[in-house]
Amino acid sequence: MQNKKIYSRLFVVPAFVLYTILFILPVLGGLYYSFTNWSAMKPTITFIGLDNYKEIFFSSGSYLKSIYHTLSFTLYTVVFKLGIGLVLALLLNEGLKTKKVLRTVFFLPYMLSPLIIGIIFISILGPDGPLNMVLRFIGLDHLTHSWLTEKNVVLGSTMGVEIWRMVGWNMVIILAGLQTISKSYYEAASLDGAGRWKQFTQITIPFLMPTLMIAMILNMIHGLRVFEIIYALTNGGPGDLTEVINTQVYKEFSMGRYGMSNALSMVAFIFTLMIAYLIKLVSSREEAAS
Amino acid sequence: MSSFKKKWVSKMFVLVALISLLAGCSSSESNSNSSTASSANASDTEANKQNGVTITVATSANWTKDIDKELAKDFEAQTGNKIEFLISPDDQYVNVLKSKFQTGEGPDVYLTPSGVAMEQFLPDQHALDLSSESWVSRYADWAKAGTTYNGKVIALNTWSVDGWGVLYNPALFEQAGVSVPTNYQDFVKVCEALLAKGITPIYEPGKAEWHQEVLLNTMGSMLSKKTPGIYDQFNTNQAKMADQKDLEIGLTQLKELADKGFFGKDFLSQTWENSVDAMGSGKYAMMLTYSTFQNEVLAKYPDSKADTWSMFPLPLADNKTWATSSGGVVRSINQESKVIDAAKQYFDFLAKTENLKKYYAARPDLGPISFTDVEGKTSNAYTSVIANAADGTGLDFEGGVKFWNQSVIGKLVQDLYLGGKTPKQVLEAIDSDRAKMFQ
Amino acid sequence: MRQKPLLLIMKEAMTWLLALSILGPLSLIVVNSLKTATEANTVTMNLPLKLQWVNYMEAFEGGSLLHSFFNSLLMSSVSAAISILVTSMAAFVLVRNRDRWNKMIYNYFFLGLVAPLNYVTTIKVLQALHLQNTFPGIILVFATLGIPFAVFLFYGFISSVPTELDEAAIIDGCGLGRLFFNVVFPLLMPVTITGFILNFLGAWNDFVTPLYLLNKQDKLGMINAIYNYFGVHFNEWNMIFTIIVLTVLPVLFLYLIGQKYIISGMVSGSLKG
Repeated sequence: MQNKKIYSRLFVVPAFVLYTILFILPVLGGLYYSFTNWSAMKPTITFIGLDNYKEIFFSSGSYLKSIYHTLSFTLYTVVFKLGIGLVLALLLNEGLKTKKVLRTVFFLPYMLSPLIIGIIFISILGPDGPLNMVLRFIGLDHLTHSWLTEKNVVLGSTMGVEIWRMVGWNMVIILAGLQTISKSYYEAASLDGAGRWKQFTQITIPFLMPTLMIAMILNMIHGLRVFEIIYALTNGGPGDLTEVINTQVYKEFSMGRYGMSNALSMVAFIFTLMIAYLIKLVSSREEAAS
Repeated sequence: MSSFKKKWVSKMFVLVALISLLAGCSSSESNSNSSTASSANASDTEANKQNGVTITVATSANWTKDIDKELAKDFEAQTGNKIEFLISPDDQYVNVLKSKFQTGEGPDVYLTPSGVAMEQFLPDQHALDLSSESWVSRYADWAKAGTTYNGKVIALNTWSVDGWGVLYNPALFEQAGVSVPTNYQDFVKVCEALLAKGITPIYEPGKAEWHQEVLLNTMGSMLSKKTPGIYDQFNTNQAKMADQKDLEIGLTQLKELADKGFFGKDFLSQTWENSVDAMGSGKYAMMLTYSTFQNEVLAKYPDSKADTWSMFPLPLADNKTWATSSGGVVRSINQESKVIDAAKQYFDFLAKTENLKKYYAARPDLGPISFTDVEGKTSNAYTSVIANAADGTGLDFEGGVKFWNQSVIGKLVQDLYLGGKTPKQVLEAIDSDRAKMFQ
Repeated sequence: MRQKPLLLIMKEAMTWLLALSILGPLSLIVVNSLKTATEANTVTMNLPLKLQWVNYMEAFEGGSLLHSFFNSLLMSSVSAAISILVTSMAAFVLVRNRDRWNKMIYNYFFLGLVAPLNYVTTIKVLQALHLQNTFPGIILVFATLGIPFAVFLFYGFISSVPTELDEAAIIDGCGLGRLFFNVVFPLLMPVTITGFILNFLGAWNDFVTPLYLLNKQDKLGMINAIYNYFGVHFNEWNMIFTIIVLTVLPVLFLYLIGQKYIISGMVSGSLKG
């Protein structure tokens, strides 16, 4: 039997040390400051316990609204990213002639900085921008909007851009999952006379489940941490229509209210952790059951 | 096992050494790169002024223009001291500067807005007292007032005092048969007449949050004239915005202007950056802007006759005063700077008459000049807005009220347009936001 | 299982139609970067009257892009290399010896995918280490920021490397060092390249971190140079797009070289996490 002792933890030390000093330590610092009234406007820092957190959840301010926006942003983007990603992956898994080029194309947006994507889409989504032009050209005038300023549209627009950016990434992960499913299952199934739909629901989906779960967790994390794309597109506006947790964190930070800013980002952290943990729990239980 | 461990420790050592070497030599390499680059630039001065120091100047991208860089080069050539601008994007500057102060990484010289807004950078802790500098005696009164904190002059102003008013195109007014309105009702009539002629009455860059704040900002001077001492009450958190009837009326009227279509359709997606083009196109009759704006339009659209354009105070809540700033952007010296003397020398250099002349000549956007010994220039808008302000001029909110946050207020005003908040709720939200800063 | 060729062609056409929604916006950048300022004032798909290559010349001179390009290259590549090296080693041990402690360490790294970075406290740590405002400082920070996801990737990938190899190597008398660097590491190529590129990208595209951690204008990378340049040319969409093309090109180049691996690396890495 192989001796596990050879795998010495010394190998973990460099990563562990680097990560602890330059990441965990500052994060703990942030956690500590979230219990203070630290502000660039004041010469002293006082410990104020849970006051910042109380303000987030119990004041009538826009904090709750931004939490709500973040959650709905996450929900919708996760569903569409996974859905469209799945469709693309299935299409590309079918032996299309140009699948390599297509794969490259769909993954391309992920390579760009969200800031740059924001700049591009500000011009595309303007009232006289290319999107509305295309809509008018094909006779769908009634669908034109001022995408980044209208009340019931703007949050959806930011979601759309985020989905645009991330479908390729989802497609790649799901494609990988599809390729791990052995062809023999399908062959056996078609010998048994199972139709394509039945094969999809009884072979593809169950075998793909672990992949989808992981993709879901990662998408969830991306969604809850959303910042740059909204910052670049609308900066949380107009008004507070697209304000999410991290744009608020940034706003508090820019006002020099570091204590509050830290408390808000801790809230986002705890939310994400809880949801990620929940998904992991559910998925591992399912795995155990099957 | 122990020999194995030893081997590992030594390997780790090599690894760490390798990494630090890699990182270390790459950094020193690029250091030498940059220093050779800069010495190539300044090779003629390097030889006789070897003990020059570097003064770091923190600035927001739009506050430092080509002329500033040019003067910095001249200063370098004369004294051997180098100026290094630390430029942050406009929307990041305040964050970056504050966090650098918080961590003791402050620059030698930093730019701030003048007036009470200087206080956000804790002048007691950071700003050097400049009261005894020789250029202070040549300051224009407003410039001195706008850079004074607790009786001490803490900044050098080479900007300009200006305010925001409604710039209008007289040719379009004539076409619509209207003249300068003196109260809100007349203003609405003017807009309606323009609209009837197919002219969009007002160009309003609704996407620019800060410009929405300016709309409210212009009512400050009226308020402080009607209620003397109100700014002090705001600054000690004794008065509330929500209790000011005039502000509520003004916001209600602002919403009405937007709802009546006087700003045009989709004005929330219009940008400030596009305003010169918009006004130059002749499609818009008015715009809330500063008094030298017409120079910029004229420069880009020589046929626009923009030099004939005039200005009047924005008559929200029948305002008849012109609210002016405390003097634009100013420079302070960090108390903890190690090159205070050189920084003072830099300020002396900038305040020299010939350099001021050179500076203001390159800045057509600046009106009245902060030093008395340099002749200023005034635009048509400036003289006309003074004439049209029946109740005189006064300090705006930004210049006089602490914790007046452009972005927060701008977003609230956008919310007002969108129907998310009533005028009263906007004012209450401003109060609660300011109250947090007093805690 | 063969499909009807007609159906396949239809599917191909449909996928290309979807791909158009990606290519459209991207080609918009290129087209408009070659226009004059007035032409690009309203951003449209209309082709430029005359190709304005001069925009690219101007951007190069105005933004001192070459210097910041090398800064970016230095920071991105060294930080990616460090990150890959330390995480692959760590992940190897964490996979091969899944005891209670190592599982905890893995979860500890996983936290980093979720936890918020705090710039002010990071600055304080760097000051304590005397690394504030230096390349080594920011390089180590970039490397650290990449660790959590890279651990995730390597962990999944190494799980699929058979342990028989290890056993054979150990019998041959390899220590952990030789086992890992000579035997296992070469097998990790796809995920190494993937991790390298993702880390490189993260550092390359990050514009906020350098703003806080580097107090020196001459050390800033390309994204920051570009953003400063926006400040001056805020209304010239042609120049903005020109500069976007210039920042994206190096990344695109890297992607095209590494794409064969990046996808298989992402795949196998993320699957078994």
